[in-house]
Amino acid sequence: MSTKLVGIGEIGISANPSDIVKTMALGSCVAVIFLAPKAKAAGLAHVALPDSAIGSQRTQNLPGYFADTAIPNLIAGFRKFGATRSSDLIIKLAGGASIMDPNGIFNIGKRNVLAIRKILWQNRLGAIVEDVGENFSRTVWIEVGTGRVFACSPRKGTWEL
Amino acid sequence: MNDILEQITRKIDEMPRVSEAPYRLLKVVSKQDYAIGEVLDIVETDISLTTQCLQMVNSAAFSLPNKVSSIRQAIVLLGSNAIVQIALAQVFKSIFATSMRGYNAQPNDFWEHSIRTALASRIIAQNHLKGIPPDMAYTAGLLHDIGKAIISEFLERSNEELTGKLRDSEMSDFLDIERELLGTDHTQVGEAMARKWKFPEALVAVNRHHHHIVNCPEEFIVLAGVVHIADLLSMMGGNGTGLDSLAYGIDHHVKNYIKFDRTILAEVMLEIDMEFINIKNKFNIFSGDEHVE
Repeated sequence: MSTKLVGIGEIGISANPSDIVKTMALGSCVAVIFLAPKAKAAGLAHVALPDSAIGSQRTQNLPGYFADTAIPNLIAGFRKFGATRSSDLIIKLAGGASIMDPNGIFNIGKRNVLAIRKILWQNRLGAIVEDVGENFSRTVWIEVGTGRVFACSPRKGTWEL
Repeated sequence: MNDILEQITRKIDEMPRVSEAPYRLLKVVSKQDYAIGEVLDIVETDISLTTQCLQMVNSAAFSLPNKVSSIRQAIVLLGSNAIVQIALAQVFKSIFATSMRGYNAQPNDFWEHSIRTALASRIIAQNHLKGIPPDMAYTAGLLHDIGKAIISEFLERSNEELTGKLRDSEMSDFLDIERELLGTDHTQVGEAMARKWKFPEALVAVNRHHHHIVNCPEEFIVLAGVVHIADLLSMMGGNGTGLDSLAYGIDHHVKNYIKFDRTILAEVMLEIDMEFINIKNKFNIFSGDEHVE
């Protein structure tokens, strides 16, 4: 069994049933998780910010960094494994946590989630599970072989999504 | 005074004094303006510091074409900024090596949180306001959480109670939990440590006020505000120190000193990420340590 670590702004997809695809400490970042049961592939993007308009040239090697570049890249990545229709995909979101900020300026997590929902919707896709928000950081991993998704946090232990 | 508080106070008293080099280094880099020669003088007169800095400069991570044998040469190749960072990292290595088990943190979490907060502080000082020297912001960001090194040990002892509290509470401010369990918090302990080690007043103030800047002495309040924001951005970026990660709020007094909107915030997050990714491996001074799950 090998663990593929997906860093901030990266996208990791695997069709090897013994793989685990994992991303650490999401904070306000969001893991956009795609599962393609028929194609037996699974993967995720570690999204940091909603909109690439602020500087896409700096993240050329990080296709998952912005929500608006991450999702088209994920879709293209899964197409290679034969998941071409929206009914081929199961989507889950995790992360998007926030600190306490009544004025909401620091609520990047929420803005990430909103942007991701919108872009998924524009691609006729939607998440069936959203484990998002609140004020704790999540580490998330997918068992490619079973398609099961887990999360853990220092404060909350481990749970399944 | 309760029992735990007494033990914490004794622990601070018993801490070894910081050797001369870090003390002088902090004094220099906390000034409004300094010449790199002053940093050179400090590093070069301390044999172990020179050795450690050269080892780091010559490590594979910096991929320099030839072996560097003097700090002066290293400055030419890497820039003075990098040397200050390396020297600070080396002199405070032992603090950042604290396990932080009381916070249920991974071994590198404390170090990475501190480095990311340091970078974020420098970026904010450099690009988003005037009057705070970027190196001073970096240093203040790096050392803002030293109190956790002691608090962690005592949180570990009251682990069961802590788990219960975390389950039952909404956790808007982790400082309240620390105070409830131990009678003090990491900002008070950090302040005491900074005083004990004769840190410059600015760093004492940042340790004490980086979560709630409102009571900070006026002359250091902007710096405390910079580190306050940098600390929160560091946690939002995924580099917290375990249990308390994201369990704090923004002090809205900062908006009187630092102007922020959503776009600026996103730009700062991007800058921090790019610099952090770039620097993380180079400064991973504990990379040889065992990883405890």
